[in-house]
Amino acid sequence: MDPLTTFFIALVAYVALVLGVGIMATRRAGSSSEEYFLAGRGLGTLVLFMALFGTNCTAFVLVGIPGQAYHDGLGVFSINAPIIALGIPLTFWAIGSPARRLARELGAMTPAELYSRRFGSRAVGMVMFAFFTVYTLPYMVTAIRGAAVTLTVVTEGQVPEWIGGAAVLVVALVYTSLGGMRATAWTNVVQGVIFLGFMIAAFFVFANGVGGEEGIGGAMRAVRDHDPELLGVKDTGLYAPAAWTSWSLAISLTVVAFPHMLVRLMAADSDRTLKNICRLYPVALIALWAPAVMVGVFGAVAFPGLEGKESDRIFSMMVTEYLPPALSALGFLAVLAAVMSTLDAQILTLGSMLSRDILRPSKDPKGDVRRGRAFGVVIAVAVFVLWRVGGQSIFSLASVSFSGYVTLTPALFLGLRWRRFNAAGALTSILGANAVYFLALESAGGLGGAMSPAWFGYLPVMWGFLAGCAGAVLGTYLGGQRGVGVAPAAGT
Amino acid sequence: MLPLMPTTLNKTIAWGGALALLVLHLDFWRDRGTALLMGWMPQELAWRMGWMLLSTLYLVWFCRAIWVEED
Repeated sequence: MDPLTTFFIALVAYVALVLGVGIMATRRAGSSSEEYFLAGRGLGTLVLFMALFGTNCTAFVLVGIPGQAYHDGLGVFSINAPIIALGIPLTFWAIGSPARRLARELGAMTPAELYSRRFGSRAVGMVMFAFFTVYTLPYMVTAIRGAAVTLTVVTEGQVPEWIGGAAVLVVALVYTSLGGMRATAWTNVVQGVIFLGFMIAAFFVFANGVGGEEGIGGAMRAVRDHDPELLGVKDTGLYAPAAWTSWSLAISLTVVAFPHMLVRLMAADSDRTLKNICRLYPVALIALWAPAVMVGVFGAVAFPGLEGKESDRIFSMMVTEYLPPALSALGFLAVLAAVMSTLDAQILTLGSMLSRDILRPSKDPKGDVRRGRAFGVVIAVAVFVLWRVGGQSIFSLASVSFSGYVTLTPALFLGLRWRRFNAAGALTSILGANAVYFLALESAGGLGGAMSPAWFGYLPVMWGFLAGCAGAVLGTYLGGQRGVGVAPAAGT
Repeated sequence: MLPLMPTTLNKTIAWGGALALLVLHLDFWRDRGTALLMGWMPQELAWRMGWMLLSTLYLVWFCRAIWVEED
């Protein structure tokens, strides 16, 4: 059987599997809005862990990280993986756990709705909704483009990009609309197993391919002989002390501020579940990040001479070179799985925010669900249109978005941990942080400067975060007690 | 295993532990060599893996001693 046929068969099997799992999950679900948007606030450890991990890990980890590691070596692992293995679980404790408890208490189903009720201020909810949406849409466009390009490359152009992108959106939309949060969580279990399992297996196969009979040891020595710098860390650019410190802050704080991650934390059935997830998270991150980086490092030995962004092809080159057709097909499905496991959560969350934060929650228990489904379609169409007509600026915005979420974290954290924090503080924090963030971006070179030093060598994200902290304190004390709604309970 | 209480001592240990891990992550003072340990393990990767093991142990302790379940 030729590789193309193998891939099409695997693709059909994958789509049938995720749709089947989505439908199965739907049969267990009720029809209330709480069930649709938050799986009845009843997700347990295994499903929630895979839902969070699948949502957190995008195709960028599978494709973009090997591309960076091709040039920068193990430094890519050093600057990213360790700090998120600590930072993400701690933010689940600092923000996720109290957000879950307060959302349950207030009956909130979206992050913006939670903070709007917490402060008794619709303005806070609207501002949060605006930034969540502005930062999430470019992210979705980038993911769709990645999936579409993958499909076009693997099918040797037989599936045009626009059809591939539309198909991925439609499949994700179908199972998301059918079963809401429960369907997306269960499909994420399947998708997470596919991409995590593939990356672990691929690491050993690629090591044997590069290292020959000596396996991993031979591959590492081949890297050392080819370019020993790949086994160390550079000391320039993102790896210089100020930039490294800024990036550590960004990458460890940003994930909890993704609305599609925060809403999943709100769907946990208990604090115990969240604690279990915090213990598992570092192990899963090692299992995914170490192979992803090593694909790029081994790729530098196998395919030397790629320049700049050409190295983003190293994942598909390694897959095609070292894996038999069936496993190679699985590799490309792993990319699709990573894209869809994030995309479904984003469609669901933005749809729910449009349904409950822009419109008032419906009195009809099924009304919100109907609106959530309709808005899911609107979001999918918007992403498709932005992708086709948005041009390069949309992709520049995606890197701005990743750091941009960090500007929301002072308000997200203090809103749950500081009783005195009020609506004025939240608004000053969010608006001030973003104003300073965009000024720093301008200083760093515009929309493409999110990962370039702004002032004193620190990245724009650092300045935005500090402005957010300062704005929170100033706004709270200067803004008096106006807008204080429900103060969070004290606790750890 | 029974949970511990977030006493002042435990909170101090938690802050101290997080700070120590942060200093070990911002390790510009360290020689980030490119040697292979035991002929196959890059020194840099070994350091980061060791750090991640420490942070995992820290998180396990943190969940037991600091994070109070309020359900």
